[in-house]
Amino acid sequence: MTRPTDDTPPEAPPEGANLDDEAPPLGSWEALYGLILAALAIQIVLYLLLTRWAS
Amino acid sequence: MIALDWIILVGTITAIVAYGWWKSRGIEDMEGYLRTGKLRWTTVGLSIMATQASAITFLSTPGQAFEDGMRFVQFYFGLPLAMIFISAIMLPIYHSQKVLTAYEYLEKRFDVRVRLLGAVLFLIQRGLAAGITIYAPAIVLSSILGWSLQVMILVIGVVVIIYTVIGGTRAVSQTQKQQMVVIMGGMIAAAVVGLLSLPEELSVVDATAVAGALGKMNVIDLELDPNNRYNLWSGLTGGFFLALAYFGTDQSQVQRYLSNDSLTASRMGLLFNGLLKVPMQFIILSIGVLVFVFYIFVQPPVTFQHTALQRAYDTPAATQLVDLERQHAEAFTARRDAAYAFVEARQGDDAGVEAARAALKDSHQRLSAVRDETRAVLSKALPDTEVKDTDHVFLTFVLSTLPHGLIGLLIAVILSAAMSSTASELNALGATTVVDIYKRLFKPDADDKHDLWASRGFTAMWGLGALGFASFASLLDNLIEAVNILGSLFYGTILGIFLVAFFLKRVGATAVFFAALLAEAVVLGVFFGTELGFLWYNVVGCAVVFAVAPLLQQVLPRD
Repeated sequence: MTRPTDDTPPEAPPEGANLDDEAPPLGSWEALYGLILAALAIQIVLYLLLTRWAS
Repeated sequence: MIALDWIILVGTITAIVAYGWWKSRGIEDMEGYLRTGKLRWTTVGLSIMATQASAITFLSTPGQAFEDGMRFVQFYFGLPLAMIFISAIMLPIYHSQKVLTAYEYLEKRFDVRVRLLGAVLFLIQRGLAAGITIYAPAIVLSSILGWSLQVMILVIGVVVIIYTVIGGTRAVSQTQKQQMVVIMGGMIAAAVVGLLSLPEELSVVDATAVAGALGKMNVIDLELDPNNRYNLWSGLTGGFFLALAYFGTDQSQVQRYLSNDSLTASRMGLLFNGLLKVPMQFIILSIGVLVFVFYIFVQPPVTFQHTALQRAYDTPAATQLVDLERQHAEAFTARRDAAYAFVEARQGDDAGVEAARAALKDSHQRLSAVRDETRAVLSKALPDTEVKDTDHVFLTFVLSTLPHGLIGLLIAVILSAAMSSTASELNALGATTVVDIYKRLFKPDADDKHDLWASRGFTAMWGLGALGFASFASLLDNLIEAVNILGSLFYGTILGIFLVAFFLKRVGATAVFFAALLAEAVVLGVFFGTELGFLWYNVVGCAVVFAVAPLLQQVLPRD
């Protein structure tokens, strides 16, 4: 996976967010967020299977 | 403990503190004291993890799994979601505003009233929690190791105060990196020794099945019950709001990533925590279940509160206790035999497995009844003593099972954890007091030297305050829950203020200020008047601020 940097294109800030022009951009960070979400989902499924198996 | 344990314990702690001290030399002003400069993302991530992982985590969490099973892990499910939210939305805003504390941002967005409200709510709850963070490990360690409670409190507190006051944020972050390495290494070593200590004929799968038969493998609970503290839904929602408030608005955490100049390193540090926290807690809880299974095959004491038991033998309850110890030994033998029968039955048909499972459960209930009765007798014999022994289980296992050397390392783990979280708290309390109150209201034009010494002075003051609180605190029902409940009373409101700041641009200072006061009153009303699980307080407080502030804005003039 490409290492996320701060040089990626900016994403639109949330509505009403108090961001100024110097606000750092978002970009390939989404890949990392996806990885974390996937890891959490996989863990929950595995824990659920473990709970069902052990009870 | 023998000489080898002492050498490892004292050597580890001294080396970590000396390293932090050395890395933080040459501080000349408040900026240098409260900021770290550029740190690697691993240092930021380990510092964030070490701040949350207090000694209570390593004393109380395995004990919680021993009594209540694995379900506590669900409490952490909202944390990775919160890390993503903070990394994507909150962190860029803080960095762009170049603030030293989270509350400084509130003045830029609203006014000084809201900043002070956020800072004061933080100082109240974190100031009290700092006392508990020192007191909790001190009382357990003093009870089990036979050291004086006051000496333990001083050992933990004074060392932390010295290196935090002198070295500031940089010393805190650098020592936390080393402390976290010791903590992880020690816990993995404890897990390996625990596994090797199980009977040879028992596989890991068998051990898990035995724990499961006795209700300890209840990792996921899908039932939506608002009064149930830990289920998937409260973990994902309440846990998310709690983690968002704690990591996003509590200065003891915000300072870990805001004091760093590199936005990338701060982000990576937060996400590192989001990725590792759930598996780490799962491992710590698994150690508790491992200890539970270990004590199915090796006779445990009738209570893990050894000191209380010894004292109770000097009271008229002694005869009853002798009888209870005999009953406990018999119940232990019956449960051990039932566990072996269950493991053997697993090779056969389903009917045999179910019969063996029922017999095992039955024998466990008998043993639990003896333990409950012992607790009741101790409570009556020693009315002023806490007899709940959950927090003593893991350390008893460490001292009675682990080889020498590793015992010293595990005590170093617990002391390191106590010091790392206390250091962050004192550092943040000092920073908030100076930046948001003292310098903002009383000494805005003071020179660098004055600011530096004020920062050191307030950090020392909070340290001495925490020592004082720790010295007079009494043992709460469950230490880790006490800290989380205390946090949940205030976090929802603080988080609500920040979310209004980020997302409701047309809401002004007066509306959010009064909405926050109302939200705090509602949360305290829920706490005192209902049985609602504490994780939901974070949702309630946040929701009230977020819903009421825009409504108030409709009737109030713009600030």
